[in-house]
Amino acid sequence: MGLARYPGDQFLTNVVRIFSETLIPQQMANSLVVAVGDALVTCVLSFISAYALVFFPVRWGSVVFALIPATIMLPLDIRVITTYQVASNVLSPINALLDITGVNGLIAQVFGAPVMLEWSVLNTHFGLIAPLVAHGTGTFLFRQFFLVLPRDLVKAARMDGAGPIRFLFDILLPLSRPSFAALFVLTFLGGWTQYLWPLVASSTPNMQTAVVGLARLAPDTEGVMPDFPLIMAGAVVVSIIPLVMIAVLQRYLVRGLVLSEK
Amino acid sequence: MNAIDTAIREAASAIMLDKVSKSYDGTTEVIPPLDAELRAGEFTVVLGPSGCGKSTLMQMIAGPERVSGGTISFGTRQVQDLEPKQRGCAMVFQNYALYPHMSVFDNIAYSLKVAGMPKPERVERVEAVAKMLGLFDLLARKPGQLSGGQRQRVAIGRAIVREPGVLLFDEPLSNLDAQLRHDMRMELAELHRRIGATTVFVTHDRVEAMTLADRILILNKGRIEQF
Ligand SMILES: Nc1ncnc2c1ncn2[C@@H]1O[C@H](COP(=O)(O)OP(=O)(O)O)[C@@H](O)[C@H]1O
Ligand SMILES: [Mg+2]
Repeated sequence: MGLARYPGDQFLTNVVRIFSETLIPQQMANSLVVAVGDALVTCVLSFISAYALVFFPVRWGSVVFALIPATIMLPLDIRVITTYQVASNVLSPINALLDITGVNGLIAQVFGAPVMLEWSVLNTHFGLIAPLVAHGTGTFLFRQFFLVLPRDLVKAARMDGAGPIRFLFDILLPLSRPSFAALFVLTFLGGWTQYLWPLVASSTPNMQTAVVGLARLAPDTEGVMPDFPLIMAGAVVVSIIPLVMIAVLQRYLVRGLVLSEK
Repeated sequence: MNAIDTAIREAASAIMLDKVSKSYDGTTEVIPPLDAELRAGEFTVVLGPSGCGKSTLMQMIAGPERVSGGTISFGTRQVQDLEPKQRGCAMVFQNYALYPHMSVFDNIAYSLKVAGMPKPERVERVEAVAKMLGLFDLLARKPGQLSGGQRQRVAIGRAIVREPGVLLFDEPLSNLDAQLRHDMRMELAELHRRIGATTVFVTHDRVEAMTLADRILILNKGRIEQF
C-alpha cells in the first residue's frame, strides 16, 4: 500500500485519545515553558553579552569571545553527565571549594560536622531550562549584526547625548528586532525538540517534555506491540506548535539571518 | 532671521587648538602636535588627501575621539575632556549616520528628547528647522524613503536643531552626484550666511574648498601645510 497520503478515518479518534488518555497535553505545556524560557533567556543574555563585547573595550574581550565557540563545540549532549552532576546539586562547587581550602576542616572541628550545601534543580522547569541557555550561537549572531552597523551611528548617538543605556534601548534594540525574532525561533525549536537533557533531568512523567513523553508512549517491555496509531497521532499533535511558530515568524527568520537591513 | 539663527549666531565661538595630537596605537602619531585658531563665525575648510587625519581632527573637536595630548578650547572654555553633548557642537557625518528606524522628525528631535526638552517646545524647534531646510513635508518619512540630498539635509537638520555654536561637516557631499553636490554647496553657503555658526568643513575636493571657504586649512600627514 505504500505511504498513506491522508490521515485515515481513525485519526481524530486517536487525537482525542492523545488528549484524554496520555499526559501529552501537560507535557506539551512543559515543552512550551522550556522552549519559551530557553528562547527568552538566550535572547536577553546573547544580546547583552554581544553588546558588551562589541561596544566596550573589555579587558580580555577577545579571550572571552574565543571561549564562546567552546559552548558550541561542546554541546549539552557531550557534557550531559557533568551537567547532571551540577544540576543534582548546584552548590557542589562551593562544597568542593570549602573542602579544598580546608575551611570545612575548621568548620567540622568547631561545629562537629562539615558544611554540605545542597540544592537540586533536577525535575524542575528551571533545571530543564538553565543548561540549554548556556549556548553561544546567539552571542555570535548579535555580534555579527552589531559589527556591520555603521560605526558612525554610535558616534552620532553620542553626539546627540545618548549614553550607553539610551543607545541600547533607543537605537540598538529597535534595529535588532529581526535578529531577535530569528534567534527566538531557532532557540524555541531547539528547546522544543530537546530530547536527551529533558530525559535525564526529569524523573516524573508530569515534568517530562512532549518529545520525551512521545517516546515513552512506546512500551519498553519486549514482545508488546506499540500502539502506533496513537504514537503517530501524538507526533502530529506535538509538531503543530513548532510548525505554527515557523509559519508566523519565518519572514523574520530569513531577515534576521541574512543580517542586512535595507 | 528666526530664533534659531539668532541663538546659533550668539553661541558661535572661536576654536583654539593648542598642541593637539593624536595617536591611536601609542606609537605612530596620526596627528603630530598641531596649533590653529579658527575664528568665531568663520567658515573654515580643511583640505587634504585621503588618510591625512581630517576625520580624526574633526572627531577630536566634536568629542567622539579623545585627544592624546594638547588642549581644545571653544572661546574661553576648555572642552577636550568634556563629553560631546557638553561641548555645544554638532557634527554631520560623511555617510549621514541617520537612525534608520526613526522618522525624519524623530531623527532631528532625538538630541532634544535625550536632553529632556518638553514635547511642545521640541515640536516647535524641529518644525522650524524642517522649514528652513525644506524638509517640512518629509517629517513622517523614514531615512530609507529619502533621496541622497534629502538625507543630507536631515543630517544637517539633526546637527543644527541643538543650536550649536560650532558646526562640523566631515566630507558631507562626497556621496552625492555632481549636480546635487553643486546645489548642496550653494545651500550650505547660504545656510552659513544665515546662521553664522563657526563652521569647519572637511573635503578633499579643491573646488569645493574654494567656493565655500572663508579660510582654507591644508592638512598633509597630520601637519598644517598652509592656513
Ligand atoms: N579608529 C582608528 N583606529 C586606528 N587608526 C585609525 C582610526 N581611525 C583612523 N585611523 C588612521 O588614522 C589615519 C587618518 O585617518 P582619517 O582621520 O580617517 O583620515 P581622513 O579622514 O583624512 O581620510 C589613517 O592612517 C587611519 O588609518
Ligand atoms: Mg575621513
